[in-house]
Amino acid sequence: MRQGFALLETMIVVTVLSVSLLMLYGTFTDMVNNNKNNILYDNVSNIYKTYFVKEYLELDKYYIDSDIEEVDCRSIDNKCDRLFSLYNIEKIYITKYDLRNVDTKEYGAGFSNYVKSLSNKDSYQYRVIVEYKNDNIYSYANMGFNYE
Amino acid sequence: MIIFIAMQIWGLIMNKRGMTILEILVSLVIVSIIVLLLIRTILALEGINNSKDYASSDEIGRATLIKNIEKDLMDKQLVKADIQKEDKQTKIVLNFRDSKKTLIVESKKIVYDGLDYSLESNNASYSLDINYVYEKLEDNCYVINIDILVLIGGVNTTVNDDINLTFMGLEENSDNNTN
Repeated sequence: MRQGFALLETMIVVTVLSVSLLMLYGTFTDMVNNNKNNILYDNVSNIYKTYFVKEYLELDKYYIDSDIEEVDCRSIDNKCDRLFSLYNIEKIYITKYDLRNVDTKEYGAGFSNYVKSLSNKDSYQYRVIVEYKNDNIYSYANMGFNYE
Repeated sequence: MIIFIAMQIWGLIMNKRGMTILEILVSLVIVSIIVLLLIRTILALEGINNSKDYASSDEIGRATLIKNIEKDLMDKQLVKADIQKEDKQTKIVLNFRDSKKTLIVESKKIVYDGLDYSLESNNASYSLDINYVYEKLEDNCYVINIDILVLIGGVNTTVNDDINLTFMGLEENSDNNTN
């Protein structure tokens, strides 16, 4: 006749349930983080600002020699400074359109994560990527273009 | 149920028959604790999901509103905006080159072009204090920024929820003054 209670069965069941809950929690956390990033990436207001920045600074005439280049305000006749202040722009980059095989670590984690989220479905040659900063929160928007 | 079946199989394998009441009770207690914790988590997740639904709906409304207004700003060429603050609403008269349109901001909705854009989140509201900037740039360009702040619990917590409208145009004459 069996006596007592086997601790082993309980521990196995608790372990299996804990692993399931942990996996669920991990998936949920990923979903929440992705959603937070989606709000900061290509916000509709920022897309329009990026369009106007590109047009006003004539960035489709700003030729680059590498895969990613940061736009230097001093080379655009002092037009940038006021615009940077008005639109809370931190940095402007001109990049190749397809950045999948480009190392972006030197440009910061925020920029790198944004570049990873970009789609490459359009047939542009280049992009302008604008980094905005509001209340210490960075957001990004991009616009594809071809050189004239 | 699965635990009981597993224990039965384990007992058979080990040539043990049946279970004591104590084993059953302890198993029930442990499973009950786990199920209670699960139910708490699921209820919390449901609450979060509902909030997320409202927030997603508001985000879609925000994007649609900005897109519709910006389309008009760019197609009709905004020249300046006049802000008229009233008791329970603020009117923004958008002066285009050849026409005018009015944007009405109330606490829980914005009305533009006959369409209502309402906020579904319970504690969200629009501020009736509109930030308006008209700035002249070089090359006869001007920039107009209109910011309608979104308040969460009466506080503007993040700029990324606000309705930011912007337009950049070329001056035709020197009469387009700041508001």
